Amino acid sequence: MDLQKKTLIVLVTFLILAIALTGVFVTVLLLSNYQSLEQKYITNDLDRTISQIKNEEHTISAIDNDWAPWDDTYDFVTGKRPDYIERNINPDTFANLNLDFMIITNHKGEIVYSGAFDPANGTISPVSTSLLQEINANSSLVSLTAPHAETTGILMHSDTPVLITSHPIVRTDFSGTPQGVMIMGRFLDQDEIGRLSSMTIPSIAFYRVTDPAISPSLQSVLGTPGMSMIIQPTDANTVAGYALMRDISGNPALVLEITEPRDIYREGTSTVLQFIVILLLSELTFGIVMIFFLDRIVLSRMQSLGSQVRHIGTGSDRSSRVEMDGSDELSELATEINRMLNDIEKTNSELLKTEMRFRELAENTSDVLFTMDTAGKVLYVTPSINRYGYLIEDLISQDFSFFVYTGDRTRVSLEFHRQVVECTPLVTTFRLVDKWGFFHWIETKSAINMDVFGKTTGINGVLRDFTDRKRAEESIMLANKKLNLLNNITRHDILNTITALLGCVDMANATKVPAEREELLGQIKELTRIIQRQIEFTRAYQSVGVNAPSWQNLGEVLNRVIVNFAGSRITLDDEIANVKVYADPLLEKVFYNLIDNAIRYGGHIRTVRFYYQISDVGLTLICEDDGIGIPDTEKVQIFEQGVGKNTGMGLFLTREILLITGITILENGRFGQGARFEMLIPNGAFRFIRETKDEKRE
Amino acid sequence: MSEKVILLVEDDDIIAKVAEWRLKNLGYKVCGRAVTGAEVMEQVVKNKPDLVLMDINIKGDIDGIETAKMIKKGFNIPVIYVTSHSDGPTLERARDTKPDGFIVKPFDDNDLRVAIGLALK
Repeated sequence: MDLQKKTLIVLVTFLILAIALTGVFVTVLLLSNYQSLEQKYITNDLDRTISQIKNEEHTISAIDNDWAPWDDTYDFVTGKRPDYIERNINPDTFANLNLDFMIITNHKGEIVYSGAFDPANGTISPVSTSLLQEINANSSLVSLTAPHAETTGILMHSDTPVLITSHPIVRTDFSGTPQGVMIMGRFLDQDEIGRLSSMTIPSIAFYRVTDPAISPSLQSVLGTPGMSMIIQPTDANTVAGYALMRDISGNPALVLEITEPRDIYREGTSTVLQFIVILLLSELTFGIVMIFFLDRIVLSRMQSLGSQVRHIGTGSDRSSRVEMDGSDELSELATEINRMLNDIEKTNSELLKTEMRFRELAENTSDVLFTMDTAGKVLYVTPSINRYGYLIEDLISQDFSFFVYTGDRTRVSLEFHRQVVECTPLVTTFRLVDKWGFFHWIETKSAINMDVFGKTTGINGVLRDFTDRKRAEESIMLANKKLNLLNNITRHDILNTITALLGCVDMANATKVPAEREELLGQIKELTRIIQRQIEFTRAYQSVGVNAPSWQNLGEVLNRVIVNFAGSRITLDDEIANVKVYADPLLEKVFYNLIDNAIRYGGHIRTVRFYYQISDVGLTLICEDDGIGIPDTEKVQIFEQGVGKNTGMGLFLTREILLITGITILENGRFGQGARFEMLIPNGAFRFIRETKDEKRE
Repeated sequence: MSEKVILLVEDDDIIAKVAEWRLKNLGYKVCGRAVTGAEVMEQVVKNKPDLVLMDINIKGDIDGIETAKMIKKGFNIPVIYVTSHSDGPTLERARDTKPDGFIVKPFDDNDLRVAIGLALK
């Protein structure tokens, strides 16, 4: 994910969170305030309503207090003014005073007047018996003895609560003994409640405390001392206020309920919503503007810078540089990047030169350099391995023992494993099997490769082919062995001959017969020549194995030999010009002996032919002639020492010279058709020469 | 003292001729000459010699050492090796047969006289 997307996501997330948090905070705070304000208003309305009811009580009380301490009323109760009712109390009186009933009692508590006004008919009728009984049962209404006494409040009538007031009937100047009480009342019926509601604005309702419409929890809360009123929303649009009202005896009588629409709360909700919308729009605008400028000033430039650096990194033109306008931190960064790229280019150039130098050194050396991991897998190998027929790709990731001769594989693997465990250098030898199955003697020197923490990461090493040296050592060892053997044989032969010689000398001295002496002297002479030949053979044989074997071009060797037989009449067929063999330097002597023997003992010989045949076991070099050949009984003996018509050493010497480098010889021609000598050159001891111009790369 | 009889084992004609001539000069009788192990055993059975003068390198499949082993085992006749090998494995093998004498080539009359005298004592 690029920086632009990340920045966009971060900003959008931040804006959403900011809006959400702000919205929640504002909603909670403002709505809480609006709710408090709503409660405050409702509380005020509830207080005002209660005050209005109290005012109504005071109004009734004031009317009653006007009528009770009045001489006319006093006289009426005492029986002195019987026309009092007729003159003062009529339906208009009730209507004007907004009273529903009036009751006058005497000092005995007997009701001397009771009248209830029916507003619908405009008539006055007696107060209901039930009401009278409830009034009489309440002593605070009917037993007033003090002139200024007063009882005002709510009386719970069976059906309807009543605002009721009672004052003692005394003289206008409050003199005299109270002669009864004047009681006035007003029913808190629907009409009255409607009238009160019109004055107080909120809708008013009264419930008995025991009314099922009042929930028990509300009853319980209102019953709590000090908790005279409660404000609570009834639904999303209406809020209600409840207040407990007590009767004239101080007992809970009514629950006053006022309900109002939640205008304040709705206004608050609307305000919050508007605020959030404005906040959303403003923050969105802010975010867009910020992203725009952030992108123009930073992000797009950084993207451009990154794109340029990426292009330089992935492209082939490492000389190109980044460009960035302006003089701010980004342009300074571009300058630093360019400086760094210059340094990298310079360092890379130097590294390239160094690597080229080391690569040339590593890949042009005749040795094979390699690296492998601790598990023995080849990680790197120089092209010098190609000479063994392997491609580098064939060996990478292969086990190192892939090209190790099976007989050496276990040992070499163990030595490498021990090297990794003990972290020590390793020098060892093994036989490498090339692609064509030929052996090569290899000496490897390797060292542990470690990382900066000292942990073994692999093995670096070099493979050196010492096959020629190994062959030379083996050849020299074999030559020494043969020389020792020949030394013993020759010494034995010479001592034998000397034994005979000395014996003949003694016999010659002892004999008196001239003819016998003459014969013995002849034997002495012959024995002396035998000793001479034996000594001369040692001189020829002592050269065998003295010089290290070498690769020799068969054609060139044969050409040097042919010169010695220029005077002979035989034809020499040379079909071995493109072959090199690894042999003792006396190989020339071998060719000489074969041709010389063919001429000496071949009889009617005309042609000597040299050619070769390839087989699984090696290259067979064949020398055959068209002479009389060799009898079957002599085909093995001819290679023994002393067997032959001349010195008896020629083919013996030939066999010994060839054996120095493991070449064997046998004769398998058909007697009467010519001699045929086969020399088997083992695999690895012969090569074919390529085109002349590539001869150096054979 | 009766004339001692010696069997000569030598494959080289001239050396055999010289050895026979020397033995006769020293007073010994040469009962015969053998060149292979089989001939030796045949001559031993036939002539019952007092001593065998044995060349180690003789013709045939078995050499002088193996032939000497058979003679000593079957006939208890003294055997003197005649050889030009002065050291090496061949001499070791010869020693293991506990011979009655060694004569190293080239030898003269005195060498023969001393070696045979000691062997026949």
